[in-house]
Amino acid sequence: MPMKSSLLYNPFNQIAGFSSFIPGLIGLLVITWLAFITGTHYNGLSHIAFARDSEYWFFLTESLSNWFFIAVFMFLSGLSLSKSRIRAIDVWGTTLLSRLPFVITPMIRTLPVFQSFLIQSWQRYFLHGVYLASLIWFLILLFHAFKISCNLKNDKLVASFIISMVLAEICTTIFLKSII
Amino acid sequence: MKPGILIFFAFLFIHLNSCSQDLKKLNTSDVDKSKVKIAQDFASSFLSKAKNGGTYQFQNEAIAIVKNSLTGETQKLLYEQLKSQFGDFQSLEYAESWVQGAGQENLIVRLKGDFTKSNKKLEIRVVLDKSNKIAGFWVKPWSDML
Repeated sequence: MPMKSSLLYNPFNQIAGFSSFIPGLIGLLVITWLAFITGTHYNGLSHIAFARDSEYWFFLTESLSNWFFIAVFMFLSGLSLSKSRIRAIDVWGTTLLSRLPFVITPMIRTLPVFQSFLIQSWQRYFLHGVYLASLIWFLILLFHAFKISCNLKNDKLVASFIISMVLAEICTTIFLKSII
Repeated sequence: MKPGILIFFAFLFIHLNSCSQDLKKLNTSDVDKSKVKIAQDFASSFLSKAKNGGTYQFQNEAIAIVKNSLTGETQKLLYEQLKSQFGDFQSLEYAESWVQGAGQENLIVRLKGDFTKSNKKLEIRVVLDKSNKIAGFWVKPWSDML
């Protein structure tokens, strides 16, 4: 039983490498497709916007850049700080798989009542609540992904995780703003 | 304690909804297509004329405050700002309609517009009053939230 529940916040003891990359990639494409049909923009690591205003490629670029920058900075952190041999595929795969909680908000937005709504409405507060919960879940998964794939511990782990997040957020935001 | 929290949030949601303006999204079947056409024709003509360096000449299709605000000079200035940020106007399409006011006095027609420098569609919003006169006109980034 504890084994099963740990899959929700740390599946990376069982899944890594290609076995995390392939389902993670499929998950990213599903999230992107749902985001496109519902107009749910993940325009930064911790940003969400609701607008059916762009083509599919724009949503795909958002998804890929959100994953790519964090994966790059985490891989570089692992390379520079870890004494272990870091495999790029572990970092790519586990960070991809960590994004799975982001499927929830666009799934909810497929319901007609969540398609367009007032700024001051229960739909908006509900969606932001769901997004916040999925963001926290994502961060927990990402932290474990980083910890396991880069084999870092204690202060090095926490500091490099925070720095990677901040740098990825800056790069993602600048990149996405440049293509609007 | 838990029921108390639930009741608090229920009141909060009801309060937030009651604070919002009297706005209601129309189902596609309830939309008056002739009104949408008025809004589309106006927005298209206004932006096309501005794009070609001209100005839109109001007749009797808008309320006085709109006509007085959107002078030729203001139209040119607005379009220049729009162009510098999003590029030239290309086309527009109908998206959705909302009614505003307890007696549904105003119709908000939301159109999606393409501009040359923007990879995102912009919202072109036209408000019609009860007598189908233009009572408002905006161009801004699209959001699914009104």
